[in-house]
Amino acid sequence: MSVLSLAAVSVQRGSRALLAEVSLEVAAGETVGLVGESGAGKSTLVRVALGLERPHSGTVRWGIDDPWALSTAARRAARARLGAVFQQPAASLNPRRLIGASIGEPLLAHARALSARERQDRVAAALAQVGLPGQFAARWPDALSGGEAQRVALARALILKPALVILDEPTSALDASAAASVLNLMGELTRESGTAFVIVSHDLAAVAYVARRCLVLEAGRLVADGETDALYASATPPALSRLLAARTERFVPLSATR
Amino acid sequence: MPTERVLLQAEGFGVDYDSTPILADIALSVHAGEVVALIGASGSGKSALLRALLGLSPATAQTRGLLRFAQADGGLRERRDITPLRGATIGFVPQDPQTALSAHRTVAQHLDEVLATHAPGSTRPMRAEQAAALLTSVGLTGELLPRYPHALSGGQGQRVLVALALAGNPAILLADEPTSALDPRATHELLALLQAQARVQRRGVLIVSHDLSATAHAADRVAVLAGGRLVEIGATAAVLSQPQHPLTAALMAACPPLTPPRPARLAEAPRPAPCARVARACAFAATCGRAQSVCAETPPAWRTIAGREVACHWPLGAA
Ligand code: SF4
Repeated sequence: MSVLSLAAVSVQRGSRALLAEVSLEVAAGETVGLVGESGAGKSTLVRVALGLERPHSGTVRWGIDDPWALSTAARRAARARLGAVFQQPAASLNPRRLIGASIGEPLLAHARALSARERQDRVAAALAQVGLPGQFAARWPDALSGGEAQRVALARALILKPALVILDEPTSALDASAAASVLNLMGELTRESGTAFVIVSHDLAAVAYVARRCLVLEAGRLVADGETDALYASATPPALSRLLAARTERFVPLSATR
Repeated sequence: MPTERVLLQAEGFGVDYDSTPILADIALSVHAGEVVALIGASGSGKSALLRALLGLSPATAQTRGLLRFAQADGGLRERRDITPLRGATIGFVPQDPQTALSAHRTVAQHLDEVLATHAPGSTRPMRAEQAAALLTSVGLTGELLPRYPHALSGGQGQRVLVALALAGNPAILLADEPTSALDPRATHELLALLQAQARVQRRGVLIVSHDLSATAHAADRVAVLAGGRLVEIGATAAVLSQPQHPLTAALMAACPPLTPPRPARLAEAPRPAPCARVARACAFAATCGRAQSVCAETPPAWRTIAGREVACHWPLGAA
């Protein structure tokens, strides 16, 4: 069953089509990469998928529900099935709240029947799921390294046991080692959690590391949907070949020629 | 590289904040015509080094050793002896155009103001001509002059920052994470622009970045900073193809390969102990997989291996 499906989704901004007739399905437990150049429509697609922006035409479905056919309150409740992690982990963590409170916050909105004790247990379990010790619940966000903060953001995204988590450039603000720790965690989660993930990144290697399937957006259109390694090997469509060509590994250092 | 003029030179350079060492034993030079990438994760001391280079260390900071810049007369002068340093000697390219540029002023206004500070006697029409020339030199057109920062793409904004840094015709360009907000294509173009500033204009370019893979390939030499000390420095090709310090090797292995085969787990780099605590040991003695007892007793001396210098008792090539 699909946890997310988009059928002929279009979004207009003025006369410009930010998304044009995009159709895609994400199956339960699947991990899908989404790549494209700046301005291709990746962030619009993320907002539409999360139900933060209503498409001008076409249909979004979370499982069987069309969020825009639901009342505002029902849509908000249904959004609990989705989690999100953004580029700047700081953006999803309130600096004035302890980490445990930030991670547990979605429970207050969506799982009000839980006791304080049960909430604490869920927070501890979410921390364990992202490989952080339980003591982290009592720390402040500013004491976290970038990699730890992104793990905490993932714990928060996972706390409601969503069917799908969307990660928008989760590693691009991190140094190589912190990025590796997030990708290693993603590898574990994609194998073990049963949650579906969509990872949006301009780091093609990071996408290929976690996602066997990859989507390519170009000028608001979905121009490829296939097996990641096969797509990279074919270097088509043109948007993908440009992204591959722009990889900085292609620079020839002057020192190499001396 | 040694034949080229030295534009920036640090020797035994260190910085203490409130009597706590943040940087120690920094030996680094930037020559005319070369791009040097200084790679350091957050907490490595790169921000302290950046501030020291710009003369922006906090008032309570104490420095040790030498930090010298080339002057127009050809001599090298101590950092503290140069007051109006920024602009003419060192052009600074900050990280984020949206915060570095004022939201209420156009590209033209930004350029005009910077040009006026460099040439107080100039007239507005003279400066307008220079502004247009500066934009051309960074690959932009005069079309952008009336634009406000929010109407610039990430790549355009970053280029405007380079143009502003070039306004004083500096010998050195210092760029702080110049590509962290850019997509691969804009990254590539910006690095090519910085490279051209070194190659064609014979400036020295120093790029400070947390990301070895993103910037190093555009650099001629790479210096890896960790725990407030340099651990490996040398020709990019040598360092990237055969890293010798365990940290550099781990940073390389942390980047996933584009194509299969892929490791089941990516390497996570060992963390150094803070600078202040390691006067008599290697900062990685407690975290490095190659550590032996000597690592906890003696700081590693620099040695030269296959075209680069490395500070490690057990570099990879000598195993
Ligand atoms: S000196 Fe020892 S602890 Fe330090 S990096 Fe080398 S092997 Fe590792």
